[in-house]
Amino acid sequence: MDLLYFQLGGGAYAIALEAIADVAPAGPIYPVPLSPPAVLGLAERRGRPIAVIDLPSLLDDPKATVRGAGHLMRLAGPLAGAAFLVPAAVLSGTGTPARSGHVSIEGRLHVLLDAEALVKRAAAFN
Amino acid sequence: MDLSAYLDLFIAEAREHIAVASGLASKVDGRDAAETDLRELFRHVHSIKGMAASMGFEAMSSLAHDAESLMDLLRQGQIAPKPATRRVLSDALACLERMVDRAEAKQPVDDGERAPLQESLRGLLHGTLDSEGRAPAVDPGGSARPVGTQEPTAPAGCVKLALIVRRDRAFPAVRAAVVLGRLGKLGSLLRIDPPMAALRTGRFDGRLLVTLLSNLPLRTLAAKIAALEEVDSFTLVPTEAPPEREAPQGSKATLRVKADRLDELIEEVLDLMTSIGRIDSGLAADRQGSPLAREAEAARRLARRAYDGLVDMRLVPFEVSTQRLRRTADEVSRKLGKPVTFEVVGDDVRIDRSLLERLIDPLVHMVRNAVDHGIESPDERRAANKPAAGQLRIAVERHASRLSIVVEDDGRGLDPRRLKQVAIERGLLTPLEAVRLADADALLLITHPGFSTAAVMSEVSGRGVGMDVVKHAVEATGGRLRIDARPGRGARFELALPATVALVQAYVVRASGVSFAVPLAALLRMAPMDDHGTIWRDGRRFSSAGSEEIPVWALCDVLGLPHVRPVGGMALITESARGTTVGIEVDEIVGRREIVVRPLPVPLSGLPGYSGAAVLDDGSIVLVLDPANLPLA
Repeated sequence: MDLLYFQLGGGAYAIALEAIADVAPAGPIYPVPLSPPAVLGLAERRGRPIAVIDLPSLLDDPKATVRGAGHLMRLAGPLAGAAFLVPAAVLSGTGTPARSGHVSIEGRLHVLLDAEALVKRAAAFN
Repeated sequence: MDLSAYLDLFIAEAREHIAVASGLASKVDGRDAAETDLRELFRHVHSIKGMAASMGFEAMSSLAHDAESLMDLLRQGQIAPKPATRRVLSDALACLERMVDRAEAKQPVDDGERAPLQESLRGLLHGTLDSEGRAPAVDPGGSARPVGTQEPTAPAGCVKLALIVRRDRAFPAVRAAVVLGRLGKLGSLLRIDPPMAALRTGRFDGRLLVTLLSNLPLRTLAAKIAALEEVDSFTLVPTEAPPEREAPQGSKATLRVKADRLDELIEEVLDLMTSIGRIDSGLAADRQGSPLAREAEAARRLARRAYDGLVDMRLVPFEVSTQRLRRTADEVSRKLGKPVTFEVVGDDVRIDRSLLERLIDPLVHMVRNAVDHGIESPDERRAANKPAAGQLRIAVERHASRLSIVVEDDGRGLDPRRLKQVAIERGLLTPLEAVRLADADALLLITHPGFSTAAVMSEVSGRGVGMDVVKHAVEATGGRLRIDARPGRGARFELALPATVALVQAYVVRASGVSFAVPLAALLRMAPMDDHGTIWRDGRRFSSAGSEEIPVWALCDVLGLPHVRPVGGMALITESARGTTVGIEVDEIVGRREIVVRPLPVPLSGLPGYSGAAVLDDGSIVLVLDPANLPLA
């Protein structure tokens, strides 16, 4: 399967290419008061506001953090309007399914991210 | 130039072309005419025309030209050969042959026999020949004698007009357009040949074929056409009206468009307006007023006009939903044995289709509730001296940028005291809160999610079924639900809505250094929170501007933002979800803007207190407040 993958904290993560609309440098993010903690705020993309989700905060890895401005990985389809904040170094490639919830890319295991589940978690306040 | 040396050559070639053309013309007979034959016939006639013109034989060239025009349309399939086509073509070619003979004999080429043949050719060209292939008689002065009998004063109805524009004038295509303009005052132009697009390119051979629908008597019509200076000659024949698919020229044609595609176009134009705003904003201040800035402003106006035009196309009459609402009322009425008179007033009011789609389910719900829980049984109504049939009325009104939909019945109404009692029983209010709650606010209790969850529904709680969903749906559009009811005297539910959803006028405000937008439609007025305009009571602040004291909340406090300005902001006076008047204090008013409100994207959709977000001209993002749904403590 075609994938985008990156390193975050101590882990390696991948997401299906078909789930992604585009990846671009993160610009200004405008906080939304009273929003769930995993939502950093709104950013502008092609004249429209998109919600920026703090992906590292949704992973079970306390070391996961985006250094610098990072990139916004905008989601496609029904989740269009949401974007994950990811590291600037995002690669594309093909992988093969490995053990549950993982894919193997160039011999290395990556956690396969479920975009829909992550967005749903991001909407929660706890 | 002395062309006599070429006469023999011309005679030989002309005869050869005429001979071949005559053989091909004999095959032009209805449906059997082969395409290749038609094309070849056209080519030969075209050659005859050109050679004759070169030799100065105008009459011969003119006759060949008419035959060529007919062949041109036949070979393109624009007209079909008629039974008379072969005969007329053959006659014309025979006439040309005689003209060539006279040229060889150095006699006058034109002896007058071509005129009726040319009329017949033109008649075939414009479809005005009768079954014998004869054109109607044309008065040399240009007025037509009607075919058949007709009352002198009877309207002409639908007529087919074939006219020749005067060739001795410059710019014949322009002349034709002038003629069409004048004909348009005599009736409706149903069909024009050649079409206006062709005339605009200057392609015009002097002949117009028009189908006209006129209320003028035929003779009057003919006289008026004859009086047109640009017209050389014409024929006028009553005809049948064209089939419906031949839509009138001009603005009456209609087109079906998929609603989704229209929505997409509107979104794209909104994106265009945002982009233009960014360009305009990007121009440095010292370049404001420059040609580029003026072009950006012109582009913005054009985009706005396009948006308004597209949204206008999306407007539908409320009537499209009337049937469903009436059916709901009828079904519940029959099921419960409660006769109900259902009336809709203002169903011709046009509403944005996307707005109506969001409201139709809430409206169906309210109609069902009104019949089920609002209107009494026939026995109850008799005992209350009311007409046997309950009255249920929906009234739709539009005022400028506001829309009002009222659902009103003459049923048992709502009793604020009973509502408070139920709320206490449900744990929604303490007894003390119930005492302090105004009766008008109590009516809104039925929209509370917990109000109608009892296993056994009473007529009181039943009226609230689903009303929380209704209220939410209305407020999601930027509207308000207002309830007015008296015990035993019916209930009135008003949906006060903005007429448009996306492009709104708003004030950009700041609180704690963060920018927000507040739609003008949500504001009643503004009041300064200076020493003069502020009252403190029981630890709460009130705006004292005007005749009433209005409780004020600082937006910073509501949203959990730090205070950067202790006192002295501006209170935005608005209406709360309960229908009471409240003030929201901000630090400053930045200015008024026209903004494109986009819904908050997932996972923020449904966040209370906001109706969306907008991207400003400088690319920054503002949250659009929904003052009525801010979580005021």
